[in-house]
Amino acid sequence: MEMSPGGIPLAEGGEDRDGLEMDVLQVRFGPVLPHWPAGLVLRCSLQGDVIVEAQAELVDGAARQEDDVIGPARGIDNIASLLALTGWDDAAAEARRIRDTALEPGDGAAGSDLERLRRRVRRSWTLRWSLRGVRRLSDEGAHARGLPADAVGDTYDRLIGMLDRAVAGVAATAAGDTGRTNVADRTLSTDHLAPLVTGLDLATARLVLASLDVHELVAGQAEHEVSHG
Amino acid sequence: MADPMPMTDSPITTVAPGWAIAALAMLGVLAVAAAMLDGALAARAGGGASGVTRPFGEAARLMRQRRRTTVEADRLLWRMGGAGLLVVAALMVTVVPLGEWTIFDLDVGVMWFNAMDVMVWALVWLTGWGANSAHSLVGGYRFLAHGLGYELPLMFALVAPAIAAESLNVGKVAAAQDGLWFVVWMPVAFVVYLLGVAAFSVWGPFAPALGADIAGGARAELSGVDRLVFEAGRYALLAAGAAFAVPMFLGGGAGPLLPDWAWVPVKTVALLAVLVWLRRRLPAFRPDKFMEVGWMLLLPAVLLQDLVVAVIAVWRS
Repeated sequence: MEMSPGGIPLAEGGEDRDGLEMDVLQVRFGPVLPHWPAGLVLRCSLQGDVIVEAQAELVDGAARQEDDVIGPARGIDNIASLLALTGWDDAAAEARRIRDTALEPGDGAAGSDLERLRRRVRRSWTLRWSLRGVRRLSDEGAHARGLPADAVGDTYDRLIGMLDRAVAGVAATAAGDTGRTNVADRTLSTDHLAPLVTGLDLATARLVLASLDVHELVAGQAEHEVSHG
Repeated sequence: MADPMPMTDSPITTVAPGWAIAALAMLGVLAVAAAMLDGALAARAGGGASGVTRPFGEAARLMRQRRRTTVEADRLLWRMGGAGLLVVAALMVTVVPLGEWTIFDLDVGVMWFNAMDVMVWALVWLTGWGANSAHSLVGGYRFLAHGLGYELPLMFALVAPAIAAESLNVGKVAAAQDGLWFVVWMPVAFVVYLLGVAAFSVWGPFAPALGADIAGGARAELSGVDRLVFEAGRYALLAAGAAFAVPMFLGGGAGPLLPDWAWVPVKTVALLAVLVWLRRRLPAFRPDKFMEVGWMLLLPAVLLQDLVVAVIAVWRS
């Protein structure tokens, strides 16, 4: 007999990591969540708060145009998201303020503020302790997932990398450098997302996603097959 | 220190139960002050202009908000969890002496406080569970995971002043600090106690249970007055925790110039301000990471502190 109180089916059991049975909950995250890549839908099977299986899709995958101002600002926005997810409200608010400054035309005070934020983040040993070792990626691992070379390392390395890139990007824009400052391709296919978050608990999965500094998501092959098959 | 074990009557006068209303009012004022300070600090960090008036605006907004509910919510348990924090905070301050007056002069006042803070486990968990929503359930789990890390160190931190005073009566613990406050020679217990206060108030680094990544966690589905009561309960817990530290570690009402009853709120406000300020300075302690700190670092450290205190207490008597 199928039980569904209130129209919601009961969770079914599944084998947990320790071999014992545990309830599996089907939860969908996105497409709209704070500090979340826009349009991403992650269908997860949760045991407790651990993602045991995930499927990534994209809603409205229209490509956005990035110019030399938007690019660095989006980078700073991603920093703000990651800091907010670590629970450091003050630093996140500071990053948001810098992002807004970076979007304003004219010479930015963003550069020096960003430099200060970078120092502050580097100084925080609690932040380092919290992010060290979270989803460490090797050279091959990053390459296999279509991630740029700067994704190598753990989540803390990636955060510092984001800050370094943002400092460089804002400096280049302020210097009137018209060339593309954002050298690495920051597009990510949804195909690569699911393996990155599987096996992590929700909090770390969100930290890892935010640390990838995704500027643009593209629908992956798997999704095309689903929708056309 | 003259007489470590005053076998005379308690240094405390129990006041008429009606004064509980005054105690509640004081707790309320402290909670509102904490919320105002938090609002001011948030505004300074770049989040809007309202500052100290933010809690009032937020309270007005929540009071006008229509109450949401979820499908198949376990309403009784859910409401109990949300409203319970405020009740627990009120029960905590009943054993905190204001100078020489107290509402309950319990022989086991320290245990009473401890029992109340353990109730928070159930309350936050029920808030997360009752809504029948995945996000708030995850928040409830996270709080329990934190609880496993902070509760034992907190308990043993409370043991240290009790050993030194040779009493579980809060008034006697305060009186035993004649001349030398416990915070001076029990700094480890004091710091662990403050961490515990932040933790049972789901505050600052211990807020992943209410995290933005899970849409507000345990309180995700709370709306309107329910949410207001829940948030007020957190501030009240923070205030009650700060108030309880005064007789336990900060010499109770002892101090120059001002009368005893005035020193207690002054010290409470100072400690409360530190706790509120701390929130903005620290990133969250992830529950899985904090478990290790709690068991491998805090628990041995505070046990060592207890041992030192016990040896000194035996040597002195």
